[in-house]
Order: sequence, then structure tokens, then C-alpha cells
Amino acid sequence: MPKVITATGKALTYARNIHQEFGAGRTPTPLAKITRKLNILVDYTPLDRELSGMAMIKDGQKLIWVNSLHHPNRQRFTLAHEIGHHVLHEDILQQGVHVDKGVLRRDTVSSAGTEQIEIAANAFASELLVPQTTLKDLIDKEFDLDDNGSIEKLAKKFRISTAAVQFRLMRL
Amino acid sequence: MSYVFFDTETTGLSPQFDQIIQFAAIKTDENFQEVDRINVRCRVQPHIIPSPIALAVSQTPISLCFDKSLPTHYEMMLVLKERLEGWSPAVFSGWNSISFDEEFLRYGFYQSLLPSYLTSFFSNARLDILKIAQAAHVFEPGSLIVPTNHNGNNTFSLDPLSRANGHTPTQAHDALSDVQATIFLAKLLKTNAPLVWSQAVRFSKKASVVDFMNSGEVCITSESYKGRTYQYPVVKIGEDPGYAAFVYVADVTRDYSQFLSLSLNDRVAWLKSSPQPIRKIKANASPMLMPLDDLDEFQGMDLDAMYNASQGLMSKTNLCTALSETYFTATTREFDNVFVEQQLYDRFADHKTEQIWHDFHAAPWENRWKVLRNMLDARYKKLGIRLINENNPANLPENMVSIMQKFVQRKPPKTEGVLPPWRTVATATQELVEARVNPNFTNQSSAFDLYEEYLKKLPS
Repeated sequence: MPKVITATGKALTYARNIHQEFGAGRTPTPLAKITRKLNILVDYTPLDRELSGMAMIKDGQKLIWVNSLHHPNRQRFTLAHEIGHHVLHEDILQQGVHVDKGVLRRDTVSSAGTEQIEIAANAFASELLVPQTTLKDLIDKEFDLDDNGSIEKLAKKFRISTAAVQFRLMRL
Repeated sequence: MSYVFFDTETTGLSPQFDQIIQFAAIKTDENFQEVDRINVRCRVQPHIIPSPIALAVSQTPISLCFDKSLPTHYEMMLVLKERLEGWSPAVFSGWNSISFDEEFLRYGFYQSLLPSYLTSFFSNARLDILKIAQAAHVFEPGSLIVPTNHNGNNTFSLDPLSRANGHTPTQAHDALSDVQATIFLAKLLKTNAPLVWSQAVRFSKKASVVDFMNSGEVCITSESYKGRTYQYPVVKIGEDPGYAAFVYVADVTRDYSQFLSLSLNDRVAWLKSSPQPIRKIKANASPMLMPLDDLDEFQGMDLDAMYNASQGLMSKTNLCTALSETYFTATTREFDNVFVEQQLYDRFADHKTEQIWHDFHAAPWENRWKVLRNMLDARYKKLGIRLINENNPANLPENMVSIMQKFVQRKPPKTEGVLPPWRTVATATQELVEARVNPNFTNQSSAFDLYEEYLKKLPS
């Protein structure tokens, strides 16, 4: 396992490998199954509104918190993002034995993409939730992007927001 | 984020025709440390006859029900509205609260011209700790010590369960004491059954349940009956045509291959057979769902095969439609909500109605009748008149006085053989007979004597 990965390309590779190994070829991506296989405990919990989720390692146990009060699509992205931290940034999370220091928060800073580790975790999450090959296949075979409503259908299929689909399509 | 644990003591079991007589709640932080509390009692409304059994359970003397030093039911509901709104957003939690205490709270607000869905709105969420305890016993065995009752069945009653796990209650069936016992068990469950707790919190909001069910993933739904909890692996096949929050799910272990070849009557009969292949999940009632993907195993079944079966079932749209339509036909009954007390769920109050509620509460009692004259929703006009009658009858219009006097007496409808849905002197008398021979109430004979005296003074 690497120490800290910040390169987007490597983050995408890790996401693809994990999807291939544990995703069972399913769409939408079975995140619960993946966290179970990666031995990560997920705790859905009501957090303050501005906080999406947290990741840490405590006594050797990998943990993720997801804000249960957020929209389900956002919860899924948060979960995928926090999985990314565990996969890509284990060394940073290991420092989380000291609780305050070890907790990586996904907040406005990371969504603005100003921290390299957050950018990498976002790229990981995006690929895990919407694998490039699956998306290309769907566009080739089932969805005509010129059709009204195709973005909504894709969002429903992947269980992500329409904004996230549009973002993903731009990066194809 | 806060939790609000709450409990009620009531005059009986009907949220529509009984009322809360004690409400207690403790607001806690995310670690269940107390931050604030409320514990209030109120008088019984003049048209309600409390159940002698309910009073015996909560050990409430009949004299306390009509103690004029206590606030009226309306005054108490006003206090609760202010306090609970002030505590929001929070996770409103209780013991068997979704189907009992929440309903009393909603109907209490409804009958007081206050917002009924307070615990669901304002970014609030709802949890039922009883459902979590029952699921934890199955999915994370050993997380709780579950005692047995005199029949040898597991019991999830709050008092014996909390005692068996080390809690010493101050007074069973007192609302505040029950809240403390519920917090004790919530702490225990969050620590000892983290997976079940997390899933319960995850599905404490309707949007999360609907989103999950729409995904086509399989989940285990739990139902408890006589101390036993039964699980069914299910997937969504449809929804109630009138209310999308009622999701229809199919047991993925059943064989549906012959269903379309059955006659309508046979289809209905099959869906009604036990165990039922199709069930309804109320997405807005914090259902206890365990996604299959979160489990390492389930009753020795092949999880991948179960997932594939669910996908196969969902892909047969004709079959899913037929199953949903037949289930709707088989289970839907036309309820005629004759009485205004029952009509909360008939429709939402519109904005103008809510504005009139506000004007009603703000006006001095002598002007409230005038405010009600602007009310177009007949339900709230009728309920508002009752509030004036209970709280300040001198300000009722003259033509309403005799109508209200007659209402308070609550005589049964004149149709022969039709029992009224509220408690009458006759039904209360019958309950008293049963209460006197109930072995749980052997030490309450003097309380029953006083109750009998109260009944005798009522017009029969």
C-alpha cells in the first residue's frame, strides 16, 4: 500500500482496480460491499450540516463517517471519497491515533479542489461511482446524450446527481 | 447534531380519541449526554374518558387527570411545539415511538391547530430504538441481553429489557423514567450493535429509504411478532399508487413463475398467504432495513444468487406491475374517516390555513371565534371551536354552547349495533371490570374505587 498518493492518474487506477476486484461488475457500484471487503466500518450518523464525512483509523480499525442528514446522492459520493482516503492516504489516516490530527474532513476546501489529497480522493470517488468504461459503454449502446432526459437517466442508473454526471462526462 | 428522546403517557391506545397526559423528553448531544429536558403533565380534555387500564399502567390517579393546577391539553401542546421546534434539527427517538408516541404527538398537534409533522420537518430525523433493539438481537447477537416473559418468549418491553441490561429505572411507565431507560439502551446499542445502529440512522429519513429502494439492491426487512423477529430478503417491485412513500417489496426467495397464470382471486389468495411474498415498507417511518451488501452471510443463503434473483425479478416489468396491482387490491381498504379527530392524514393544511392557526393562537380568546370564521378547512374550524370550549367557553358564540355541551357528553351514534370509536361510560365500565381482575394491578383497588366514583358522576 502506498504512503500518500496525490496523482490523479494513480487514484483512477486504484479506483478501477477496486471496482474490478470487489464491484462484481454491478451498476450502481456496490459501495457497501466494497467497504466490507476492504475491512472499513461505515457509520451513518447525523453530523453538522457543513460536514459531509470523515475518515480515520483507530486502534487499527478503518472507519468512515457519513452525514446521514445529507441527500443520498451526496452520501454516496462522500462514502466513495472517504474510501479513497483509506486507499490512497493510509499514512495520513494512521496519524489519526491522535483523533483531531488524524481526521480528514471533506468540506468546502476539498470541493474547491485546493488540496492535492482531496483532489485525488475526488478523482477516485468519481471513477469508483462511474467507471469510465461502463459510462462509455452505456453512451455507445443505450444513451443518446442529445436526448432530453438522458443525463437524468444516467444519474439514476449510477445513483449520483445530474451535476456529477455532467462533470463526469466533461472528463471523459 | 442532537438527539431528542421522548415518551408519553396517555389516556388510552387511540391517538385520535385519547390524548397525551404526560410528555417527557431529554435532549442530548451526539454522545447521549443530557443537554436539556422537559417533563410536563396536562389535564384530560372534557370529552375524553380516560382508560382505567392506561391510568393503572402509568399509576396516574383519576384526580390528577382533572387537576386544575395543570395546564390544559392545548396549553401543553403549545409549550411542546415551542420547545421541540427550538430543539430542531434533531433526531427524534423513542421506544416504539414511531407507531405510538409519534402518532399521539401528531394528533395532539393536529387537534390543537399546530404543525403535526414537526418531528419530520425542520431537517429532523426519526429513530425507533425498539426496532433497533429487535434487529440488533438478530444481526448482532449478543449485543443485548434479551429477557423472556412468563410464556418463555423473548420480551422487548422497555422495563424488563433495560433492567436485564443493567439499568435501574426510577419508575417504570413514568414518561421521564422511560426516556432515561431508552437513552440507556440507545447507548448500549450504538456501542454493541454498530452496524444495525448505523443502518437505522441511515434510513431515518424518507429520502434515503426511497433512494435505496429505487436502486434495486436487496435488503433484509425485519418484522417482530410475539418476541420473535422474522427477516425477509426483499427488493422493490412497485409502490402505492396514491403515496410513493409506501414501497411494495417482494421476497426474493419466493417463486413467482406461476403468478401471471393465476386468476385474480387466486393471485389475491396467494399474496395473502403466510408468509406473505409481498410486503409494504413505509419509507417515512424509519424502517429497519439491512442491505444485503452489508452482510457477510444471511441464513446460509447464497448472497450472489439472491442478488441475481432480485435483478431477474425487477427486469420482469409485467410481473412486477401485476404483483403491485394485486397487492394494492388485496390490502387497500376504504377507510371512511367520519369523525374530525381521525382526519389528520386526509390532506395537508395549506398555507392560508396555517396562517389562520397562527392568528388563532395570537388572538385574545374573545376574538378567536372571529378568526375561525375565516377558516375554510372545516376540520380546523371544528377543532378550533372545541379549543375555545375547553379553554375559554365564555367566548363561544351562543349557538355553539349547546352543541358543545352535547359534544362533551360524547354519546354513542344512534345507529344500532355501531360502536363509537371513542371510550364511552359503558366501555370504560367494562374496562374497569377487566382491570380489577388483572393480576398486574392487584395493588390498585383503591385507585379503581376512585375511578368508579368518577364514572358514576358522568352522564350515561
